[in-house]
Amino acid sequence: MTTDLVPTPPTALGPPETRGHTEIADRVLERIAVRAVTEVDQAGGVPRRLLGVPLGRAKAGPDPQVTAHVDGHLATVAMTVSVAYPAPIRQVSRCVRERVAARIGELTGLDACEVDIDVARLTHPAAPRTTVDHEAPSAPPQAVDRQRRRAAIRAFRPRRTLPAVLIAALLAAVALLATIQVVASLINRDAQVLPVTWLTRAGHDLRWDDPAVLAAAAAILAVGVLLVTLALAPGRPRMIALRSEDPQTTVGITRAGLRHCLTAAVGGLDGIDRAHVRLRRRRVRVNADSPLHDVGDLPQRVRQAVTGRLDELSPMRPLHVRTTVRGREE
Amino acid sequence: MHRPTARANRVALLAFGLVLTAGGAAALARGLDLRPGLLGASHAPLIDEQARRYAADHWWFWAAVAACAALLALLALWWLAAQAHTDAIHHINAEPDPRHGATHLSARAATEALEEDLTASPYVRRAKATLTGAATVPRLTLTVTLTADTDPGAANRHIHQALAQLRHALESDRLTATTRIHIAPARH
Repeated sequence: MTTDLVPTPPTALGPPETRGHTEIADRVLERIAVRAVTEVDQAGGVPRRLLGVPLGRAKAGPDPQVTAHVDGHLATVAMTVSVAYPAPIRQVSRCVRERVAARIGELTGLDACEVDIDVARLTHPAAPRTTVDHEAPSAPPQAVDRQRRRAAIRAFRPRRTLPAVLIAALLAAVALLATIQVVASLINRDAQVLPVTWLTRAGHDLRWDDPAVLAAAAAILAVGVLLVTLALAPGRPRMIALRSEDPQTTVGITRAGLRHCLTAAVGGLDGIDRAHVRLRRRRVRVNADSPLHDVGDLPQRVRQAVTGRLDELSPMRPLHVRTTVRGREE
Repeated sequence: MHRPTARANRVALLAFGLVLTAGGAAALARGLDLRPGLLGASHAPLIDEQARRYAADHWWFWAAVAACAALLALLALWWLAAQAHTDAIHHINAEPDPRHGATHLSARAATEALEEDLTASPYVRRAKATLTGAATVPRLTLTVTLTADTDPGAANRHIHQALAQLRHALESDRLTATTRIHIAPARH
């Protein structure tokens, strides 16, 4: 007689569907996910905020906020985390996602099919940060240069916000009042939102060749021509475009900013009291005053200071520099 | 500001300017009796009897005027509202393949990190970054205020370094940036 070595399934429990079932609460998954996030190096938690104000004392390592939902054997998880800066966010979040899914799978047997990650903060490490190398590219070919110049012109072209706001506000006010007037007149003949009586009388009494009418027509024509000019003329750029070593970046400096920079460069020279910088479209004019009688080589030094600064900034359109140094008079 | 708004401003100014130009020129031409055959006599009143009768006889005339004025008012208000519109985005889609879940990076987190990086330099007094465009293809607008004693070359390198750091974190070489540099006046 041979004995069966393979243990027979415990018959006492009956068929699987009658054995009861294990329910895993959402809260359990949330705890597991929180642990899993802390296992990833460059991910962390975020302090809870209410209306933008962090709640509670800022702990060293707050927990990530996690909500989980179980549906059958599938689980979805949403979490708010922080990532160390400048670690690659996509890679870190993929790591977190894999780790959370793996832990949930191991511990509960559920399939965490979707893990949504909100990165709410990028934390700067207290330690000296890792610097990303960025090599200075060599001088770009001329075509690229032209392309960049065009991008700069586009970026810094005036947007005509002031005339737009004025005209839009005026138009809106007049059109609204006219609408209200017409509707009011349809209801009540004598309604006067706009000075209708005066307008009617003027329309009846004035003739096309009246000087007032001619002046008004000329004024309307002038405003019209002005608006067309504003629309079509490129306008003075709001910034002076600078050459940028990075092709994805358009850099500009304000006119006042360039003036302040050059004033500081010249004013900082020994033997210069006061510097006055004027910027024209293509020219820089620097007037410097010296307390010395004999200015010696100061004019050259002032010129060098100005051109040196300009070389560092390197405007896309070179600026023509003129400098004058005035010594103390007897 | 939204770039399309800049274009809309120019188009709307052009349209309104052309209407004014045409109207003003026609009124002037009539007043100066340049084309009496086409425009009518110069000594006629602005609103003649015929026009007055037409408006009085047709009930729909004033209704049409009201409708046109209301439409114009709406258009003007929309144009006005567009001035305040920015296309700032609130988050960046960091995960191009969302089958296993989406990854969103808060735009504020990214801009704060960049600003913090920039203001670490003694040359940088203030930095303000905004992300605009689309959540999948964001653009960066950066305004940096430097001190007057700045070495512009060093400041420029610092800004580029900070931008390179952000691009590294976003794993996006294509993040285009527009940088506006202000320089504060020297304090004496």
